[in-house]
Amino acid sequence: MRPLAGLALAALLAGPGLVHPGLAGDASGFDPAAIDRCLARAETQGARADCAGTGMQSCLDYARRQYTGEDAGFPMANCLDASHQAWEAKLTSLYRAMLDRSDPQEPLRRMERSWIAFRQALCDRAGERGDETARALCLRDETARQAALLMSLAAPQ
Amino acid sequence: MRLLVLSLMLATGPALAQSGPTYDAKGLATCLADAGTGADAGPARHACIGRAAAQCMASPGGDTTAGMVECLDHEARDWDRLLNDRYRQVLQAAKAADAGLAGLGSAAAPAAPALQEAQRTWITFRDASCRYESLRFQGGTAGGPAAGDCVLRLTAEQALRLDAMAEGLE
Repeated sequence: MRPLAGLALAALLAGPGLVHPGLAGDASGFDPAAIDRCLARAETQGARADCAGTGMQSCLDYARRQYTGEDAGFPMANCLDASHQAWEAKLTSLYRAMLDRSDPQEPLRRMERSWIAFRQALCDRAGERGDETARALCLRDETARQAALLMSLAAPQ
Repeated sequence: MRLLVLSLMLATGPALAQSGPTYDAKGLATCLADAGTGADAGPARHACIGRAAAQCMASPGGDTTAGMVECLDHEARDWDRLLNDRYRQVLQAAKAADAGLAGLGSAAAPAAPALQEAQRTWITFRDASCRYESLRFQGGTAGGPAAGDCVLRLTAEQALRLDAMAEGLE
């Protein structure tokens, strides 16, 4: 559904490249700062991963008020996408900062490349039979989980 | 070592005079049972990750490098058993569904190969991840526990993914 999702990180993995600007803060009504507030309170890797769905409820409330179209699934799809993009941006900046501090860089690149392949396979599986919501949820949750992992590696407790 | 933080919050078991640390073989199963199941149980189930190992590390003999490695390895093996059990269950169901659809002449993409691919790529990810983590501690005695901690966490997370898929079958 969203071939753009993994592009920012994929471009970064291939070497210096452009960062996808993301959809955060746009007309979706999703507030990416809510994720930062949740992360600031979280003290463990697990608690950070549990921040995955932060900001969804207010995004959905907003979308349901604003959206006048016929597609009942639109608010969820749009908010999940915005939430996923916010995590994607967070992961990309974490990854880039770690890469800048790594020497050699190859073990970290290899880890992140293998994670992208895993997420693709896992979420393709979740989205089989055309279940796009399950697929989008998988992409968002796994991206948040990987961001939580990189955060704990960047600042071990 | 982030697991040590957890250990401070947990009561230690009875202090027995022995050389190796004490691992509660029922610790993980009890934690998962208490966490419950269903869509909202995810955080509570994930919170079980590292708990039995932390308890073990807080027992006499669990605070040495060898003791920590032993505790982490114990819990990693518990998660690995859960992972294998759920993987078999989900794969079996996928194969049955594929056979049913093939019988109907369906052109839908088969489910079993998708699951196998997800598991295969997970193994590559686990290996690359834990190699990276252990390299960060290269030369130090923390390298052993760090690698063990990594294997434990990633195995546990994958076990819980498969566990949720298996729950969806019921």
